Formats: sequence, C-alpha cells, structure tokens
Amino acid sequence: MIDLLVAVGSTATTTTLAAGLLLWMHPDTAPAADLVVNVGLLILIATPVARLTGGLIEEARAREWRFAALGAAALVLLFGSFLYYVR
Amino acid sequence: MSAGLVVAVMAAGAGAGGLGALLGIGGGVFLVPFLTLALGVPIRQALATSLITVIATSSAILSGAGRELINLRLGLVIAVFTVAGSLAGGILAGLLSPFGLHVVFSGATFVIAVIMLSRLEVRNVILDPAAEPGTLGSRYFEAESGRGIVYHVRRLPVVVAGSFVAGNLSMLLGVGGGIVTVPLLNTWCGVPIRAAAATSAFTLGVTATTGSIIYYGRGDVVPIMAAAAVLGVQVGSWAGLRIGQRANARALKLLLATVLLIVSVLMLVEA
Repeated sequence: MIDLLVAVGSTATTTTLAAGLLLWMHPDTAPAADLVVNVGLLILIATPVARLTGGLIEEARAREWRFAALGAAALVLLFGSFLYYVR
Repeated sequence: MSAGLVVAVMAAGAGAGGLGALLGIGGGVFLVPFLTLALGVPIRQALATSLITVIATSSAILSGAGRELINLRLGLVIAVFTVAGSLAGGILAGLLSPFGLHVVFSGATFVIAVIMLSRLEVRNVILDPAAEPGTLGSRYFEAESGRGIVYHVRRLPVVVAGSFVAGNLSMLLGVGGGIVTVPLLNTWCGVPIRAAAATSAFTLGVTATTGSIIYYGRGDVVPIMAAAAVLGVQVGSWAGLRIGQRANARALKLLLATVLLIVSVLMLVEA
C-alpha cells in the first residue's frame, strides 16, 4: 500500500508542478499557473499523511495494535499541531 | 519572480535532492542558507520552500529505496516523537534565542560527526540471516555483501529523545530532521546506514508536513519557487539514488560525517 501511495503521490505532484511551471513561462497562461501549482503543492503535502495512514493500516492488518496505535497517535498529533498553530 | 531565480532554485533543489537521496536527509540544512544568503530570499519563504522540498525528497527516496529497507515499525515510533517535537518546536522557539539554537545545533552536529568518523569501520549487521531481529529490528537483502542481513534496534530511549529533538529542529530551522535521526540511528541505535536512511525518509515527510501546512496557511509559500525546488529535487534524487546503489556503506557514512561537519560550520556562520 505504501509503495502505491508513494508512486501515485510522486507522479501526480511532478506532473502538476511541471504543468504549472510551463503555464507560468507563457504570459497568456501565466494567470492559471498559480492555481495549478497550488494544487500540486497540496497533493505533495498530503502524500506523507497518506503514507502514514497506509503504514497504520498495514500494522492494523497484521494485528500489530501497538504500532497501529503509534501511527494513529502520530496522525492525531499532526492534526493537533496544525489546529494549534492556525487557530 | 525571474526566470533566473527559478533556475537557481531548481539547481539548489537538485543539490538537496541528490544529497538527500544518498543519505536519507531532506537537504534543508543546505537549502535554507543557500536561499537566504546566496539568493536573498526572505527567511520565512526560505523555510517554507525548504520544508516543502523535504517532503519531495522524502517521497523521491521512498520511490527508489527498496521497500524492505524501510523499517516501518521503527518509522512509526520515530514519526510520533518527531511530530510531537515539531509541535513543541513552536513553544521552544520562545525560550531559545536564534543564536543559542544555532550554536547548540552546530555543536551537536559536530559531536555526531566526530563519533561517526570514529566508528566508520563498525557495521550494524548480523550476518546470520536466521537470527531473530526482535520487535523493532528487521532484515533485508544487502547487495553490497550479496546476502541477507539482520539488525537489532538498541537504545530505544535514544531513538525517542533524538526523534523529539529532530522534530523541534524541523519547525525551528526548516529542516526535515534526518540530519539528526540518520546518524543517531546508525551510530547509537544499531541500524545499518541504508536502513537508517530509508526509515528516516519515511518519517521526514511527516515531520515536514506540520511546518509546511503552517507556512502555507500563513502565506509564506511562493508557489513558483516551491515548484521549481521540488522539480529540482526529483532530478537530483534520481541521480543520488543511482550513485547510492553503487556506494559502499563506509563511503556513505564518511559522506554523512562530512556533511555534518559542513552543517556545523554553516550553523555557526548563521549564528
């Protein structure tokens, strides 16, 4: 699962960001570049969270509840830190 | 933003990606000083760009590293404490002056480098593939020796403390924390260098995500600059992975120790 998430995330990120940079190079399409690049950046930022979730699921499937709990704790802390700083 | 700056940032990203792929670090320790000192990028934008490239480096490393090199359980332990450390990093920022932070980091990386250099010939592998790796240890096929190897993870409290510190540094300095976790895992915790690098790559992205979201939300991310850096990372890490596959473990450790010494000097200069 982690391999799939890494592959999909990397491909989507690279494609979107490259498209955004190409749009930025031409004055007629430059206004659209920011939107496309921002989509690519958001995909990139979401990828590690998806990987962590994938790791948590793998451990849960293997019934390794201690490590699944660690993965869940990391996700909770991740979202908690986000809420703490942007409140 | 000029085309020249975009090219320069892309080249910097390639350098960070290459080093990151070789050593399991995000490259942010070089990228931030380069962006601020060489290109005149404002510090917050440099930190934001650096954290985003750390995520990209992490993904690039994981795309190329063998899945068996990643110690998922150890990675989950590290992830919890690096994220906790990242959360605490913002609180710690109010207690520690930038000068103090840079001096402490400089000293710590220097000490780690010296210890790594003193242990270059030590290998953290058990050559008996039938050996039990234990709860947190693991096994993988090592191309260098042409055989399966096993390793045990030792000194778990060191892993926990080091991960927390790495998380602090991620938030405060715009780095992924791999510059702390990789040498820590290899020098004190019994993890072979390639497994330490791959496992660190798994957690780097998670650590950098916290800071990336915050900087993104505050408007410190310059989209085109970040895009250029990330695409540079993709190219650099591809090259770094190819080189890393041919390098032996001793050479990688020597390179990492050298990188730590350079980082130590850079941190003193920035202080």
